[in-house]
This record gives sequence, structure tokens and C-alpha cells, in this order.
Amino acid sequence: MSRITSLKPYLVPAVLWLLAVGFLVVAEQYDRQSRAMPLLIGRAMVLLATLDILSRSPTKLGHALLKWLNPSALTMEGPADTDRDQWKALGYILGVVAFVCGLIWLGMFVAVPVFVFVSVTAIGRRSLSQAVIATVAVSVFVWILFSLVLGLSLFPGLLFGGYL
Amino acid sequence: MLNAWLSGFESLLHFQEILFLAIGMGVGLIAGAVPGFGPTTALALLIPLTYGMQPITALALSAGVMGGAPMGGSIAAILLNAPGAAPNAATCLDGYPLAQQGKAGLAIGAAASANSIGGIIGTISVLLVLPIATQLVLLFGPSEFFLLGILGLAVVASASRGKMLRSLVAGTFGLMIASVGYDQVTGVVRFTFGNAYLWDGIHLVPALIGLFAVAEMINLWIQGGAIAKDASNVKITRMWAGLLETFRHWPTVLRGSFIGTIVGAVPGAGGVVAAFVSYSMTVQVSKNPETFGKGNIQGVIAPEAAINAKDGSALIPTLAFGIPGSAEMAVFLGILVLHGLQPGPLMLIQHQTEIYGLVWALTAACILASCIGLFLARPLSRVTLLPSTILVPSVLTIAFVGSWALNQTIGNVVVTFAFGVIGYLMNRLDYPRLPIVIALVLGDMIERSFFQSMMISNWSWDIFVTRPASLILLILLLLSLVGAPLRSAFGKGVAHLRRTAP
Repeated sequence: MSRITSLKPYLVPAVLWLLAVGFLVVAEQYDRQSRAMPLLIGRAMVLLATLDILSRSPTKLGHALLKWLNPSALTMEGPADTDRDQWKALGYILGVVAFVCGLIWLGMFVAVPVFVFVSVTAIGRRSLSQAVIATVAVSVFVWILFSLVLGLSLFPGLLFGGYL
Repeated sequence: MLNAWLSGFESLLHFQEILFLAIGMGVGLIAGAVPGFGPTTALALLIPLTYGMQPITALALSAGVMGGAPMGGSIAAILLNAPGAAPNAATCLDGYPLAQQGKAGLAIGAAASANSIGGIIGTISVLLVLPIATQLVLLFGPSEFFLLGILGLAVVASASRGKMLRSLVAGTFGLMIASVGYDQVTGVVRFTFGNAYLWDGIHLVPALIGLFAVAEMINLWIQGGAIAKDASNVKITRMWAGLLETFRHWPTVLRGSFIGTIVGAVPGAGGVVAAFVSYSMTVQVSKNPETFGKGNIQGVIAPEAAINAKDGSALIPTLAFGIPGSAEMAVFLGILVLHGLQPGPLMLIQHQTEIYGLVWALTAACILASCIGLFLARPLSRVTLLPSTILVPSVLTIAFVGSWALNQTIGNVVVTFAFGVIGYLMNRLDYPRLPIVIALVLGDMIERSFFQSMMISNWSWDIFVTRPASLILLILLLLSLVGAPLRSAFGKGVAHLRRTAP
């Protein structure tokens, strides 16, 4: 467990490093002119991600790199995120994922009121009357602005005849 | 040139433009007053709604938002100690103590007049510099434009206050994303993995809505609660005296405006730097520095003048070179691109009416928003009492539906979500977001200029050192990359000397 915790700071630059390597591998498949710029960008990313990884290591080199290239990380203020904070953040992001999936599958006429109502009651812990007012207000605003003013047909959702 | 100024002014004198300028101002005042919302989020949300508008109408709306937001921000900063936008944090230092002493009206009045004067001085700087910039950019060829794009990223990285490495990482990540899609030069489709939506590349506007509006709302949702405390007991009187107070301290206003103008023109420096530099300079030259932080009216005037002056001058790099000076300007650049106004030398020549129309609209918004702000201080401060639990789902809904509405493609919604998560993570993990936006905006130009340079030079790198203008830009690029690390090391040395001095 402690080993995983000690590897956590390296996760983001490591992902970026792998992404850059993948980017380079794909770029190599294009012709000389099409790959010229992506190769430059990919190599720069590998270099920068490597420096980012090294700067996070608890060594003299890491400290020197931080001091020269990213000194703000040496003076980070405020408490670090707890596990609870991270789970909370993940929960909210999953809430947005659910909304996006709702928009795609159920469409805007269903997803918008459901999302606003559930957010205000379940997450915001507001009263039922406040939730109903917010839901109606947002739904009507979206319909007036996008349907009436801009003249668009709101996306009906894949389940109700919409297509990608 | 006078003709261009006048035709720009004339283009605004229509009912539709004035109406949208007023709507923008209203949105700006409200968005500026709500901490965590701000003009960047407001502009990002408004982009899809400008789709069917004439370019000048869209620019009037944007100028209204940009001109109105600083006044909304100062009202929240003074009455509630809650800066609407980050630059207004400097206003809190003396504005809130003044409000606690019963002088909120004095502070709001001074902020309003400082805002207006700063806005006018910023406008004058744009009007003077743009014609020179037009001549300058005509000297540039492909190699200069390539280096200018890279220099833009490097300057933003070196100006990002101790986050140079992570800014460069973010900028390079942005260039990777900008490589996705149909290559304009060779016609090859790259990094799409068979997805037809990606053929046009990652669309800028959904990405901007995600990076700013969605990311900020996720952040606000997690923080929870009401945004600010109730300020209903604070008395707002003597606003007219506050207006005059600014003229009594005219050196402070001029200094603040001058600092704002200079800092605003530097890509990446932004309003926070302008406001705090102006504030600290005012403290340094004051005969009574000990009174600052306890309710000195000059502590309100100095940052407010700088904040509005920088709005005007930030247009210079944005319009002339396509390098946005701040996140707000980056989103505004998205509006320009959406309306077919590609920033850069051609824009300065082909769209002078729109450019000067924008400058006039921004000035009008600065002055009018200050006047309106004086009358609406109380209701505006109440906007901050709106609970985030209601605000966030409402804004998220408009963000996603607006993103879809751009070209009625559900792929936009997915891009907005993906960039929302990326923006939120970048915020949490201390990676600046501005470089990624600049890379998304400049990616095409950088690659096209690079390719043209290499074709001209028969794939020799000499072209970047043999042309004088390129050489100067290359030296500036190296200086900006080396300067920031040296500055941080040298700064430490000075701090150490100060600590050990007798």
C-alpha cells in the first residue's frame, strides 16, 4: 500500500510519457512531411515528461530540477487531498459522466430535467420545492434559448431516434 | 487610420450591437461578481450563442462581458471579501477593510472611476500600438511565425510564476492534441483512429467550454455551500465622494493604468500580476505604507485601474499575433475563430472595422458598466449568495447543450466533458491551463509555418538563424527559456542575502 502511495506523484508524468511514446509510434507510420511536426512535438513531450518525473524524485537532482524549473511545487500551500476528498471528486465527475450519457442516450428533453432535479435534491440536499423550481426554470430556459431563439431541434437521444 | 477608427465606431451605432453590448455588460457584471464563475467561464458559455450573429455583434457581446466583469468583481471584493475574478483579490486587501469601516460606498465609487479611467488608458494604448503592430507583422515570413508561436508558448510558460516545467508540459500536450485530424499541408488524416468526428481535429470551442466552464463548475460543486456570506448589513453610502477620490489620487490611477497596460501586453502575465504589481508599487511609493491593508483608498484605486487597463492592451498580442495574453483572451480568441476572424497579420489588415469596433465596445463597456455597477451594487452582491448546488447543475446544463448547439454534433458534448475533466485535473495537479489553450489555437499556424519554412530552406534548419527577424525571435525564445530558471535561482540568492544581511 505504501509503495503505491509513494508512486502516486509519478502517475501523471508517467501517463504523459507513455502517451508521448504512443504518439511517436503512431507518427512514425505517416510519410516524411506529415510526421515531421508530430515527431518534434512527441520528442519534446518525452523530454519534458522525463524531466517532470525526475523532478518528483526525492533526490538532489529532483530538488535541483524543481528549484530551477518548477519552484512553485516547493512551496505548495494547503493540506494535501485526503482519500475522502478524492472519492468525493470522483463521485462528482461520475455525476457529470451520467449526465453526458443521459444526453447521448435519453436526449436533452429527459436528461436535462432529471440531471438538475437529482443534482439539487440528492447532491445539493435542497428542498423538493426548490428542486422543482430550479428544474422547471433551467429546462424552460434551455428550451426557449436553443429551440425558440436559435431554432434548433434539441437532440432526442439515441433511444428516441437520434443518431451520432 | 482615422477612417478605420471612425468606421469601427460607426459599426457599433446600431440597435442590435448596442443591445448585445448591454446584454454582455449585464452578464459580465453578474459573472464578475460570482467567485469561481468569472468572465472566462461566461465567455466560454456564450460562444455557442454567438454562432448565428454577425461578427461585430458577437464582438460587442464579448466586449460587454470583458468590460463589465471587473466592476462586478470589485463589488464582490469590497462588500464580501470574495473576489469575483482572481485579479480582484488585490482589491480585497483594502476594499473589504473600508467596507468594515462603513466606507463601502466610497470604495465602490473609487473602484468605478478607477475602472473607467484604466479602461480608457488601455484603449488609447491599443489605438496607438495596433497600427505599429500592423507594420511589424508584415515583415514576418513563415520562419518568424513558427518561432513566434513557439515564443508565445515559452513566454507564457516562463511567466507562469514558478510553473515553467509544467506549463511547457501542458503546452506540448496541447500541441499533441492540435495534431489530431486532417493535416492542412499534406492532406493526411492523423491520429483519428477511424473516428470521423476527429477528421476536423479537436474543435476549439467545445474544448474551451470544457477547460473553463465545466472544470470550474466541477471545482465549485466539490467546494459546495453558498459562495459568499450575506452582506445585507453593509451600508453603501458616499459613492459620489469615492468617484472624486480617484481624481484626487491621480498619480495612483495613472501608475496603475500604465502598469496594467504594460503587463497586459505580455502573454501569460494577466490581470493578477497587473493588479498586484500596481498595488505593491503604490505601497512602495506611499508616504504611509503602514495604512495599506487597513482601508487605504489608494489600495482600491491602484489594482482597479490596472485590471481594466490590461484588458485593452491584452488585445494587442491576441489580435496582432494570435497569442492570447490570458485565459479570458484565449476564450475570446475562440469567438474570433468561430466567426472567421483568424487573428494575426491578415486580420489587422482585412478586418480593421471589426477590430476598432471591438476596441470602442470594450471602452464603452468599461465606462458604462462602472456607472451601472454604482446603482446595482446591492443586488449584484446578492448574486454571490446563490447556492452552488443550484448554480452548478444550471451552468453545466447550458455548457453541454451549448456545446452541442455549435454544429449539433453529439461529439462536441464528449469533447467538452473530456476537456472538463482534463481542466479539473490540471487545476488540482498544478498544471496551468493557459498553455494548452494557446497550443490548441496556434497549433495549425505553428505546423503550417514550420512546413513552409522547411520547404523554402529545402529542409535546412539554417532558415531560423539566417533571417535577422528569425534570429531575434530565436534569441528571445532562448532568453525566455533560460531567463525564468535563472530568475528563480537569482531570486533565491537575493532572498538569502536579505536574510543574512545585518
